[in-house]
Amino acid sequence: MFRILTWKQLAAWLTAVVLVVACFTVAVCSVSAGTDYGDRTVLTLCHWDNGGATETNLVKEVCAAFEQTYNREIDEKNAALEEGEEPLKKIKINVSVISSYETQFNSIIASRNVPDVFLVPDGNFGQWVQTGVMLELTDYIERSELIDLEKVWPSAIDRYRYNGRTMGSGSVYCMPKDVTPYVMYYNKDMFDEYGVPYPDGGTPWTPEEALEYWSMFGYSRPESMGGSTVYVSSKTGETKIRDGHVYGVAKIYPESFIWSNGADYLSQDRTDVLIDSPEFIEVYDYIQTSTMDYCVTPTSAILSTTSEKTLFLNGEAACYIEGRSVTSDLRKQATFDWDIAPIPAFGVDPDCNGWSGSVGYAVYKETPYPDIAYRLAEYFTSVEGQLIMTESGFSIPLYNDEAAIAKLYEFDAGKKPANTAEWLRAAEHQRAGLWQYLPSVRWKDKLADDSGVLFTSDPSTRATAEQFLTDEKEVILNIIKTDFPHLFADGG
Amino acid sequence: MKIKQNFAFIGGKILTYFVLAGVSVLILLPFVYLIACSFKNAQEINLSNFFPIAWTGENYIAVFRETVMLRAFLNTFVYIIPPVLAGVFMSALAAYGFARLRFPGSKILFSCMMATLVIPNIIIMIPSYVMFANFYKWVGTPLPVMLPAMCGSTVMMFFFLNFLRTLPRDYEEAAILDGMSRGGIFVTIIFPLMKPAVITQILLCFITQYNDYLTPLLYLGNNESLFTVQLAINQMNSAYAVETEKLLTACVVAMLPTCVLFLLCQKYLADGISISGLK
Repeated sequence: MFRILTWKQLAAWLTAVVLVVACFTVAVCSVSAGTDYGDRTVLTLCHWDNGGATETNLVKEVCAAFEQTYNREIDEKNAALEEGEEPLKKIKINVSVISSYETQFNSIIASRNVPDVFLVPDGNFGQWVQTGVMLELTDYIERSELIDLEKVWPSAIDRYRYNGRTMGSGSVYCMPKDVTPYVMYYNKDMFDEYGVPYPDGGTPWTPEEALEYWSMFGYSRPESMGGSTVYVSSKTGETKIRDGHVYGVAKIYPESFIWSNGADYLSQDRTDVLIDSPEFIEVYDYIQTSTMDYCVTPTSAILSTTSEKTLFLNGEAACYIEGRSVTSDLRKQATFDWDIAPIPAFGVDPDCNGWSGSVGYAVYKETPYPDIAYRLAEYFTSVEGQLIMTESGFSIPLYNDEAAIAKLYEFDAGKKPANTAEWLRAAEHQRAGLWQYLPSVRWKDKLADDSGVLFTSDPSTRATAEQFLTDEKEVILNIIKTDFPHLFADGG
Repeated sequence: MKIKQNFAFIGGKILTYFVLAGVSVLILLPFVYLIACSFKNAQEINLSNFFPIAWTGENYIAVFRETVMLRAFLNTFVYIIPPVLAGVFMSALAAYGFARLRFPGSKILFSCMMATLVIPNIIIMIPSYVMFANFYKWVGTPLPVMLPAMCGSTVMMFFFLNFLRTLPRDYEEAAILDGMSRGGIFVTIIFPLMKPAVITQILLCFITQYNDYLTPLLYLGNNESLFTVQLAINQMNSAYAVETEKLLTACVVAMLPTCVLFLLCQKYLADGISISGLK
């Protein structure tokens, strides 16, 4: 009965053992190989994955360029050293990419295991700067030879200032990486089909023009007729049975109209709510009329079942207000001719017709290498870093710099949209969004949620803009008082 | 009467096949759509057409060129092979011990092991993480993904135990009479006899490890060079820049190893499951 292993069995056992040992060794070696940088100083830069592989690769490219520049300097300095002097260390930048960045980074801050340099979306700036993890950069910037704050778009840098109470003024805590202005994309084929003139590339439509042109698109007002739904042209009153809606614009953002009408949500010191001003009420009244009477834009109930981008791509909305980040998708996915124009605005301050998004880099307050970490963050804002990012087509230059602007035009040449100048105009003038007003956005979310009473399908239960905003003022003020009591202490 | 019965029998068969075919179509449809979408270009991906109008293979090239998918495949196999082979061997060894050996406390030990089956994995996740992070300092390495699984699992051991109970003891008794050690008996007699069960467990373990998303996500950190296939796919799904056609293509590519493995070894999988009486 006794038997020893056959050659076949022996081979199988040996193969299994060799496989296990080999794989285990490879796994362990891959880790140690990844962290072996000799005597280099290793800096970690933490980044999100929101921009996909394109942005991640670009960030790595900029980091590599900085590493090269810095190490070249070190080589030159080391070559000039006297005998016996300690040579300076070169650096190695590790880029760490995190999913669900905003959520995960809160845990990182709580654990105080913060990387040397980290990405800060402008929407999170207020919350994170209060935790004290960011190094104040004003002195570094003043000493810098690379950064001239006078040349950077003020809105790009001001959103990263904090004075200990409110944002927008005081010391700088982040170096801006990019700015994403918002524009109105429009479907030229639909404009031709419906006989609507193209918007002017440099001058925004007035609210009246916008309503007139948007309402010329299709038959968007649903009405019940004989058990089925028909769509009525809000412009001509003509009735037509269609497969579905067609809208003038995929979504209207109140901020564009409010700011351009000279109104605002909160006072400068954030202790007063200004939503009951006549200019503010005028804007909400306009949006209510456009949405409910003219049906130029879908209600939030309809938007909850689709996205604005889908409506635009499917030819169900003629205009679409969005940032530059969507351009590469439209270039690939849109099957029609399109261009961009300024977002419609009131005449008081037509340049202030929207917000721009931005991300910046902060330096961890307790990093052992604050100087090098600052230089890395600064490199992204510098002309050199901006040229790399502009050349890739990913971002708009943060500067009024001829070389960077030329790179933008060079990249955009022959591609849609044709109106490249609008990016620069918008980047220069657009301010940070409402998320920058206060470190928490509960107040603005409450305003948006409660505004549903303006858009109920039953006109008898629909509130007027004046009624709603007058009542809501107290609600919003109470939220701010609860969330930010320090603003109201010592007389605000 | 017989004709009537035959007619009812054939009718019943047709109905059965009709229902089964309908259910099969329902199950397979998402997979067919997934594969069809992987051949669509960026312009078509948002359109409602089921099959592409202009078929393109560019997504497959892009998935390997523009993402870390290739590296992720290599990593996945490197992380999976030791747990699969060592884990199956260790579980079989433990099962043999409980099935054939009588030693003090064996029943209590066995009861304790079986009791771990009722503890959901999610409950021990935080203590495990804290242990690997603070005590062993292994977070950011593949060791927490590999080493625990290399020790086998209670479920696998229970599977082997059921299989071993069906094997006659005569071979072992003869080998003992011939003076063979317990280790020798396990390696030369028992383990080869367990071949169908072992292959089944290798397949099941491979599929479980290959599809595991949470463990690598917890322990591998943000270092792309360590990513597994599942993490690489997740990385393609970012907030503002989702290239749906490439994401779906990556899903198709990720399905291939398990599909091929299943097609090659489905006989063993079915046999092993029926032999051990497990579902």
